[in-house]
Amino acid sequence: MRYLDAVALAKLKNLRFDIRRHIAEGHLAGRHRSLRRGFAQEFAEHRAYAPGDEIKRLDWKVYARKERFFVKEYQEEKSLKTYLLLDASGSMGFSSGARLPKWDTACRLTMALAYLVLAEGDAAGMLTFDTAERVFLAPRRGLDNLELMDRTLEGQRPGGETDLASVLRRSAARLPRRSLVFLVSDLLGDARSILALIKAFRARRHEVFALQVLDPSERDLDFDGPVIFESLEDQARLRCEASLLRHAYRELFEKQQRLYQASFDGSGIRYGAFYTDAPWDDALSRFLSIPGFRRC
Amino acid sequence: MLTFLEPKVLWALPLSALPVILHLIFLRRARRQPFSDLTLLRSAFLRSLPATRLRQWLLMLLRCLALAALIAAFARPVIHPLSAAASGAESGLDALILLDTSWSMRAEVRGKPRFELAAAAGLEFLKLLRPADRVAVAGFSKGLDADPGRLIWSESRSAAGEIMSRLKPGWGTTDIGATLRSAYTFLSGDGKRIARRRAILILSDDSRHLLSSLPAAGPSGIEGYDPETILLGLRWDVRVPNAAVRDAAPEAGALAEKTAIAARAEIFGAERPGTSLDAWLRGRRVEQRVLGLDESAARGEVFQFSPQPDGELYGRFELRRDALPADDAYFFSLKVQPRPRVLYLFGHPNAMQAGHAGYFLRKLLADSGRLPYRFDSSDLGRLGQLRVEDYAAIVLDDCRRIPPEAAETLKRFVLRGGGLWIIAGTQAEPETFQGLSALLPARPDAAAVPASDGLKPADDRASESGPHARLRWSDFDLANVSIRRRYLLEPAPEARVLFRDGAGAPLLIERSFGRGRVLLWASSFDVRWSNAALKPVFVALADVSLARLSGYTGSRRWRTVRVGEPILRVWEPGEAAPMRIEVQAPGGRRTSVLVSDRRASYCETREPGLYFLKPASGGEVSALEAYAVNADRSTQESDLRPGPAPWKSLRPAALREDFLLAVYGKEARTGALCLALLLLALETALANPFLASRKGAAAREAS
Repeated sequence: MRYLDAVALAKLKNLRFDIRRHIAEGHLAGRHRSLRRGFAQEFAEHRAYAPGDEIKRLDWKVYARKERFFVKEYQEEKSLKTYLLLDASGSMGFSSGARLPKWDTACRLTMALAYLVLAEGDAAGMLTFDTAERVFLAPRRGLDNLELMDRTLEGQRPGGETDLASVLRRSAARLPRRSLVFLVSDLLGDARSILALIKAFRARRHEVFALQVLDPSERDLDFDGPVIFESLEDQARLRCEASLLRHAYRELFEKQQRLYQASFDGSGIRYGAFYTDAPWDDALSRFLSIPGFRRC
Repeated sequence: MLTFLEPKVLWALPLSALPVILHLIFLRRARRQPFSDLTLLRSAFLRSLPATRLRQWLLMLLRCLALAALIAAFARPVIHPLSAAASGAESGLDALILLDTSWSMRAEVRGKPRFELAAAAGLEFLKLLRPADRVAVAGFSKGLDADPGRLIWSESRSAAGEIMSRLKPGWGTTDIGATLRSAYTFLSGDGKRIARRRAILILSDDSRHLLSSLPAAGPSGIEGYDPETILLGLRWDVRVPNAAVRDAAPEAGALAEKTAIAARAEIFGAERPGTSLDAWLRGRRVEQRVLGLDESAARGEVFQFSPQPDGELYGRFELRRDALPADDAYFFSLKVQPRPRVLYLFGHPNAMQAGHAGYFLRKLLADSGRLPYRFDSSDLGRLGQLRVEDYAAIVLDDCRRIPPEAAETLKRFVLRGGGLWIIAGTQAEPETFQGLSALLPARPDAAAVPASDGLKPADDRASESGPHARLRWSDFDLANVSIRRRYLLEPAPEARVLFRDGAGAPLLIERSFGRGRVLLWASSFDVRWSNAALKPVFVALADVSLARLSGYTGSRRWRTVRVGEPILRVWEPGEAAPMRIEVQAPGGRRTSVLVSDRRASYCETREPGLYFLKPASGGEVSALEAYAVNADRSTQESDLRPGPAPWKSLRPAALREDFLLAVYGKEARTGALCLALLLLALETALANPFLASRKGAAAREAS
């Protein structure tokens, strides 16, 4: 696999994505053990029959041995549907200097998350989008799904404009409630509308994780001299003296990041920023180690 | 008001717009940079647009100003401090250019006369004047060449340049004090002086001799001194060691038959251990001396010159050529009266033997050499074989008989101006002098013995003028002069008795005849007749007598004048004065001068050298007379050592800068450089992103 090679897999073996402890209501299904007992495939214990119990749940083999009615109880397994929403707009193709494009980092993160989810026995699906949905892979269990995802991503190239707001709006309506949603994007654009839509995910009882992939130059604007900035998403241009703009840009960028951080924290959305100048696995490890995640 | 010493640098002033041009170029050639999203960039751009642009333009303005200040610094700005200039009331500069035409300006600097360099500096100076300026040009040496009342202001540079180019170096000395006095008079007479800046530019050498004519207080001690008038002078910054022949003069103590002339040489500004001083006589170098010159004192050398047949000693003393050739030669001319030849004619065969008059006269005139006469003797009978015209005086002694031819010869000799001394001798008879009776001052009679000894002069003074004017007969012991025999004389009416014997009878009588003179000694110098030849008075008596007869005064005419002084020739009453003379100047120019009242005056002594006078009627070669004309050395013009100039100095190599600095004010290059540095520091501070971010952070914290 291109985005999940042996080295990446070796690094991921030390990580485990255990969402159960964060989900008090246990409403997410999957291999994650629910606190409620029910009838599922994994046996829990026998208990004496009580009126009202379904006849079909009687364990006849125990009755044959002990001539008393016992009912079989099973540990209920909840199935966890995970959706990996990957931004494939033109802005994700940005890279500065000799660094990898943000797209590569985003793909690696997506594949790593998919692996972690699938490794837990949950179903993982993927949605790539720009102005509209490009590819949608329905959630499926099994690591075989990784191959499909990788091939899908390999055939994708970032391009086109981003309309994150409309895409998210449509996705929010399409995804079943109470899903686990990973949004991998640079989150560049109108921050307030993006936040509003991400919060809409939350309102539909989705568990949302926002992974913002950024290039350091998008943070530092470390250009000098007169520069014509050309947008990767449209034909827009901006001619300016980069050094003179740097200060204001950084201020705005920091403000935007603070806004994201505050809004996501307030909404219970896990948020992490991933810069392409840092190893993605380390960043992912740190992201998973923040409260709410447990590291093996 | 601001001017620049290097205004050509200001052509680089458009370069100060370089930051703007570079900004536009780089803006046009901005590199393209793909970027993920321009939303934030646009917001930042719109937000920082006013401040950014202000900062950007401020930066560019600072850069432009810094460059402009830097260029201005290299253009060497000069600030005009005077209030008139600052207020704009100043309407121009009145510059009086004084070009030194004294002969010291002939000194050569790097192969060019200083005068030419000074004139070139003057022409260069004219180019510095602005349209509103006026200029007047005059030459000076002992004073202004032109009358201050005739000097005019000119607003035309070319006219002033022409005046300057017409000036030539002369042979006058320098008197800067008198020159400045006239200059101040000229400047004070100008009615437009108010609100006009005034300057006097002295184009001269800054040597010591120039300054020696200033009062002790400097220019401020000059009458009419105006402190508001800026005094400017050239400063050469070149050491010009110079040796000169200061003067020459006849010197006493010459060797026998020679004439001594002492020449003094000196050097200024250096030592010259071995230089040569050549003596040139009549165009021929006759002697060369090696001199060691130093600055401590002039070195004198005495040259002995052999007598010339015509008594004309003329030539020059010359040093090796140096920076100022004008003073390396000193011309001289000395007219020495030739030693008169005296012919002794004797009629007694033993006249030349000891105890006789011939013996004593030969000893006195020929052997001792104490008296300035050349002595020849001959028997009277050989008179016809002699050229009597070669002699100034003839002594006729002890003749018994004078042949008529000899008498006639002697008579013509006296008529033409010769002197004849007749010594009666021991064998004369009343008929002896019959052939000479026309010229005899007295008729000798019979010999007799005086009643008493002694000599009595008619006048105690030996002579009223001339070399014997101080001789007194009373200084001799005349009472012991014994005249044992003498002839009685009957003086002619026109005769004059010079000496009498102890009894008062005439002994030495004189009379004029024709152009000549005759003396008659009524006795003999034979020791049998008199002991006069044995007494000291004999020397004086012979000298005075021969001087009266030959007209010899021993005179020396030092015919040396200064340049500009007239050559004055006065003919003595006995001399034949021509109607007109011709004067030949050193360059070969000939001028005819009329002789009036036995005087001729030639005033065109414009340059040093030898001037020759001769009768215009084509007189004999012997009539040629030389006059030496020399530059005036009394003011130490030869001293070219630089002195402390009491004016603002202008270097010819940096005339413009020095002029602007001296006239218009103070150079502000350092200030301009500091301003440029300050602007650059401001630019650096403003362009520093760190500072900008600090400011931004501070602003955020404050908000």
